[in-house]
Amino acid sequence: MNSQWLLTVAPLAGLAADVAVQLAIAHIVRLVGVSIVTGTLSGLAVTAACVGLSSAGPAPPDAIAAWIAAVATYVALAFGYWAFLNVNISGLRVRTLREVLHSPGGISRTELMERYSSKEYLSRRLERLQRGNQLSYRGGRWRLEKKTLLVVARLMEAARALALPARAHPSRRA
Amino acid sequence: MTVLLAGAGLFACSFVLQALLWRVWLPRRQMPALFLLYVIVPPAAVTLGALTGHLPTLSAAEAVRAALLYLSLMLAYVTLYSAIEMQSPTLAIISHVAKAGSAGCSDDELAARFGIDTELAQRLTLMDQAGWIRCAGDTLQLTGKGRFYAQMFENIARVFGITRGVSAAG
Repeated sequence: MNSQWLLTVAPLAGLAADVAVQLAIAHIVRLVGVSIVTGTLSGLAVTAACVGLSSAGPAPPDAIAAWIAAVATYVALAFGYWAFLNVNISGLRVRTLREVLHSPGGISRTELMERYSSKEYLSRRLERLQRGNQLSYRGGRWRLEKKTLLVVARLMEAARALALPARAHPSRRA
Repeated sequence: MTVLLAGAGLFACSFVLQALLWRVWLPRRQMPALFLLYVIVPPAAVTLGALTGHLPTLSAAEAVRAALLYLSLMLAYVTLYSAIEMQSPTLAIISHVAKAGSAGCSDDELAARFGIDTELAQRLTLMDQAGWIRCAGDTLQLTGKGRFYAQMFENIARVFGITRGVSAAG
């Protein structure tokens, strides 16, 4: 395979490595979070290795552009794969469908509403945010601790402002 | 450099076009419209480039790289779009608590804002409308179509080692 085509398949090889490592770790170690992170990093390493091996080709600044294009392609593909896994892990619709599948005679709506009530979801989300040190709970009040997710929220708001007209923003629809 | 400019440039064109178009006419079903727009833009841009003589010269490998970059950015954006369209509940909580500043928010305040039982009810209505489930009194049952999707998600979870999803909810 010549260097041009090696550079072309680099992000795809990275994605293949991401999926293979994620699958292996999820089945062997049974830690989903670890499998996703390790898979993503392994894929990045494989992408970088392929680009590195093909770097006999273009000279700077084309080499830098080739690196950026390959890594951006891989990151976008890995993001898609992460989103696919995430929907299957935490998507409410997917979980509900699987829940009904596991109850051969059907499931009571009341039972389902209790199990997946918004209050239950809220307390699970708050717990997760507290565990991740994003929020703290002192004196019966929740406070912001880290600004990481706030930055993400602001970025999403900026993306929303760019991509959607004001009338379509969730805050307007609520 | 041409590959990066072609792929990212095409994506930027699609994004700008979508942002402008949505301001004039907001589609009722945004996701299929978004897909259609992002699929139409590259051939339209190539045709326009060929007609005006501004088509960059790319080798076969370079053209595939540019297409891959565009497709991956498109897929990532389409994935992200649902979070743009509907605010993530976790990010909404963070923004709400941040707005409260050093005073913070009590459990009751958060429950009043985010603890209203609409999420699951909305999903059940959508699944009922899509013909995935049917309600017999208080009991929910899968239709043939619903069983197909439920089994598909079950198989995906098994293959990708994420079988703990359902039990973790309990």
